[in-house]
Amino acid sequence: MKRTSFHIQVLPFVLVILFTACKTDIPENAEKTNKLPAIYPDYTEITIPPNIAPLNFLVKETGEKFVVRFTPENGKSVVISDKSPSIKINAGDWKRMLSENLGKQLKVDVFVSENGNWKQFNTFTQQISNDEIDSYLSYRLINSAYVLWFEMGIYQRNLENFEQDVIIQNKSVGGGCINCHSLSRNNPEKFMFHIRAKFPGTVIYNNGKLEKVETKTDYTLASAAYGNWHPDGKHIAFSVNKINQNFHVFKDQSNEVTDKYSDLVIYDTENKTLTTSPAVSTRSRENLPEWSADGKTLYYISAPEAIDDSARTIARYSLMKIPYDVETKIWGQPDTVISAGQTGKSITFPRTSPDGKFIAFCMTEYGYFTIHHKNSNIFLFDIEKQQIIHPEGLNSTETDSYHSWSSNGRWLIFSSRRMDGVHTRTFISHIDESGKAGKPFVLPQENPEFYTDYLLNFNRPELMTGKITVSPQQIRDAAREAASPVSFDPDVNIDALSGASKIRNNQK
Amino acid sequence: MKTERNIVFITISAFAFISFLVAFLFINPALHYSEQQIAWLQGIHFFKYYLTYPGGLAEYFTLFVSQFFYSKWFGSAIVTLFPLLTIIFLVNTLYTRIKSVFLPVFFIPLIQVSVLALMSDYLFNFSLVINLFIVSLFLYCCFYAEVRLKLNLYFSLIPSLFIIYIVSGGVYFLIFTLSAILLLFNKPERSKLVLVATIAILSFIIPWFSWKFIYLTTLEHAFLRSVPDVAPMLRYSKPTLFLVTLGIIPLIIAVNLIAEIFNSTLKKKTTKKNSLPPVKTTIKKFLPLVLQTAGILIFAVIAFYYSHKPQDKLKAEIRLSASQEKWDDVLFKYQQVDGYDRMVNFQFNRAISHSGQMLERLFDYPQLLGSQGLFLDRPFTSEVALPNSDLYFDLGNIDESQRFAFESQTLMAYSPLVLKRLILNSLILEDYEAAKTFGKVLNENPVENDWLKKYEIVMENPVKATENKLIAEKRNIFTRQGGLFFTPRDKMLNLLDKNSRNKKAFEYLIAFDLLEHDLASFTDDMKFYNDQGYKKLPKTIEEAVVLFLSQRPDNNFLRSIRLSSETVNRFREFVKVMNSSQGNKEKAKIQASAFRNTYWYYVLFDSPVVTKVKLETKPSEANY
Repeated sequence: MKRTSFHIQVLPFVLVILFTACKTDIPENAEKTNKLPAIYPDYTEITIPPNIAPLNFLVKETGEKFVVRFTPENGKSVVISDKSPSIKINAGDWKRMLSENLGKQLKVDVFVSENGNWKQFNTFTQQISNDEIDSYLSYRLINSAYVLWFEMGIYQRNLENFEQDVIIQNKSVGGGCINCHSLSRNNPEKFMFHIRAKFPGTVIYNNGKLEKVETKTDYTLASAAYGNWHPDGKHIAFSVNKINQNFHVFKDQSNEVTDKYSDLVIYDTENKTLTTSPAVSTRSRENLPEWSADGKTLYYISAPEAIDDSARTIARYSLMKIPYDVETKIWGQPDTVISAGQTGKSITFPRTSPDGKFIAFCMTEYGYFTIHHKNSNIFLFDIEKQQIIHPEGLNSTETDSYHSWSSNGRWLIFSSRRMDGVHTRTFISHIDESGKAGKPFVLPQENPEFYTDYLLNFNRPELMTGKITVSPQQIRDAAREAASPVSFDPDVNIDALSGASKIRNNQK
Repeated sequence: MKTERNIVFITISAFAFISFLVAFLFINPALHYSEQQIAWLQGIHFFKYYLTYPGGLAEYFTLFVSQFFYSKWFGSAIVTLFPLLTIIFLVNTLYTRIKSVFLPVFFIPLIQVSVLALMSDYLFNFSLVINLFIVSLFLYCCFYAEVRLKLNLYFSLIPSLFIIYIVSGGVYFLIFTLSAILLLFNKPERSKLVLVATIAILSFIIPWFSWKFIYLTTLEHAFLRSVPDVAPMLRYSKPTLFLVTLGIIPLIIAVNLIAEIFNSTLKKKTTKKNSLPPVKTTIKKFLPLVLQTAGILIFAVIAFYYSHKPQDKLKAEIRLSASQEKWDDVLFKYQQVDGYDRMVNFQFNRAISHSGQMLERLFDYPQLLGSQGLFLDRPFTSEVALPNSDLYFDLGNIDESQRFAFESQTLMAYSPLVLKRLILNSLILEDYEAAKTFGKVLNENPVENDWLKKYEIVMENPVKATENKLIAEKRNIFTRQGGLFFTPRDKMLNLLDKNSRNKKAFEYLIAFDLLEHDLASFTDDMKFYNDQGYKKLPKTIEEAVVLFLSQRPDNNFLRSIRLSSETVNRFREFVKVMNSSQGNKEKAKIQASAFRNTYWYYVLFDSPVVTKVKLETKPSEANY
């Protein structure tokens, strides 16, 4: 009895101590500054997926103490108080706030104490979308060189937390170049990538089976390059390119990647055959194939024949389409979707949205390889209305380039150099049903200062509906095997090919 | 026993002292620092990288230690210290286990001598020394713990295997297992034999398992990695001595083990025959010491004979002087280089350009590769990335300098020289945010971050850029213009279009034209001559004009140039010598040796147009 009463007497004290120890006071009488706080990265006034990792940030205001309050419409507020301006949000609190507030706003208040005087900045909001983003993202991490390479790798990142795992590193394949990874409709069970220089070939992972093939045949001018999976997960459309590089061709643009020739081919993963058509292997330069959402049409870009160095370099690509039936292998007639002649610009990297409504693409002055084009911007094409949409607030004054859609078509991720003009980072933007884009925000990292000294580029970001579960060791072992050759479709009339393939064969 | 310990102590101390002197006076670790672009950073990105493969932690520690090579004093002390510690731990392990050291004067300094000989190669990576130190430290700890702390070797050696594999990886793990097994053979007993068998099995299983399931390394690296994987131009070609050094620890243990077995057998026999100890004469006492000393000296002479390459050192010094812009030093040292070297040629050209003597002294060094010794654009390989960036920075083509700096950064991610170049170029190009990114990385380098202070002010306040002499000067001559630039000539013309008084660009342009035997371009490019403020026509131009005039006497442009009588007379002499050889080219070449530093000699004997010497051009694959 005595013992119980002792507990009852002590308990309130313990609770008071615990409560005071955990509670973070919001500064009273803080002076209002009437401006938004400077934070890095900029996570103000954005729309965020409900399953995104905590958006940790750095308060870039002078002070010796920092208090940040997150106030959701439903549920408890979260207050973080620290002497460091680095604001790291507890993952559990963050998840709770987001899951309890779908379609609602999260208000964020920043207080900074400078010389003992508290300042309160204007509240900024983060709109929590109802639309989830695919839980994984794959990308290649590379340095900023143009010609040489040393170390690189393709990685996968869990967007719901900060975990990053290796898919393949080039040191596993003797330092060769690994590139152009691509997935079938964001499906981590169907992906491919190429290896060049050492252990060359194309590694394809399809329904639990890893294989490596060599896609160069006697009737194609090079190994397959830029690929896009058909929605059926059995066929991959590729371009085959003869690639060159020039430097400083255009002002403010360090590098220009150009093709002397390029054609399109389609690879059947089951029969291991390549096919093409005279319609997509012309003397013009067909490139960057992209399937429509229903898989009945192949979009691609095309530029006039490169008759000399000048024409090769200073070229504008139009967006084209051609019907193709993968079952019967019957091609339709090519048609222009967006003419470079009309826009006065070059169209590149077409990516169709999974709902079949939009094509996201880059527009630039010349060429197709926009990662070094400062003037490259991302646009949408409304397929039904046949109209180009310039998504307000999506683009920046720096390079905005390679993009991919989430599987629900509500999120567009893309590469941008807007943070420091040199390094490519992945940005995420919400796209609503009408094609309106939300303010993009950079892929969150656990350390808010991550991007300030990270010298690798996030290249070819591709969203994935889940994790690639095949181990990097298995991929390494497959990648080190000799590539098995693919055959060229015997039904294709070789003589009818009027494009690069024939030019190449004639040169032989 | 006490005498033997004294000998060991004296040997260790003496060779430590000698090591320091050799490292300081003959090797100069500062050259390793500059040749390998050694960099260690405090940041987490940097550290995390070294956790991704077995042996990464030792390489991380190696970079931490070897960053102090920037100072000749610190560097020499480090080169002395780690082999010294290695041998101390090894000797103590032997004392703990075998109770004596066989032929100490010969075997103890082996590591120190080998390391010094290996350090003669400026691409030698210090990780070998650090890993041998780690192996000896772990061996000592395990066997010391058994004797002094009575800790069963199962509990020390088995965990050590895993730790050593993670920390040192590859071949060092095998060195450790082999050494441990040898030490266990000292007093064979059943329990020890089981341990030996366990270690032997684990020495195969641990690397195989980690390769198969944990790391992304190759199978070969999982077992045999011995040096860091660095960019092609920094790769160390492992000589025989390197392989010998890898085996030194097990070798010393094995020799001591055999000696111990032999001694105990001998002792038993001697005891049976005669219980009295043999009387030692002075000669018998000192003869082994003399022989051992002679042995180690012979080893040292052979090791240095095969390792020491004074010409390589000289070239490394020239590169270091060029990176520090000590042009007089370059112009002094190039004369000592034997034969032709493209990079010496390139740095010589930069040195005469910086000292305003380019068109006076161009042929003081034989330009055997023609314009390929002037510009390194082709063939483009990893070793020319940073020198190319340097050259275009000199000339004021900051776009090109930055392009090649990015190529260099890909190969040497944290090289201080590359980061400095990227920062400076970014500031000149007004890419302040990029400058801050690179600046933050350089700031993590404790040895090099002082340099940053004078540029931080510009990063924070771009207005201050105009107050910085170097930035202002480069901005004045740099232009950001587009175009198809196929040759270095196109790039020089672009610079001169922006600022026709860019004397370095003019001199490189004229040198390029002349090295290419391109009279038409030379004639055209001389339009910039009057803007350069020459007091007299440079010697090389005079020599070119007089030669071209002899072939094209009707060329009005050439006739309009006034030549000094000295050059004209010299040319007459040259022609006379040529005529006297009556078409015998070899004879003419010998007779014209007095004209070796003239354009005429170049055109007739040295030019790649004549010699057909050509560097292979590699096709470069686009990095898509």
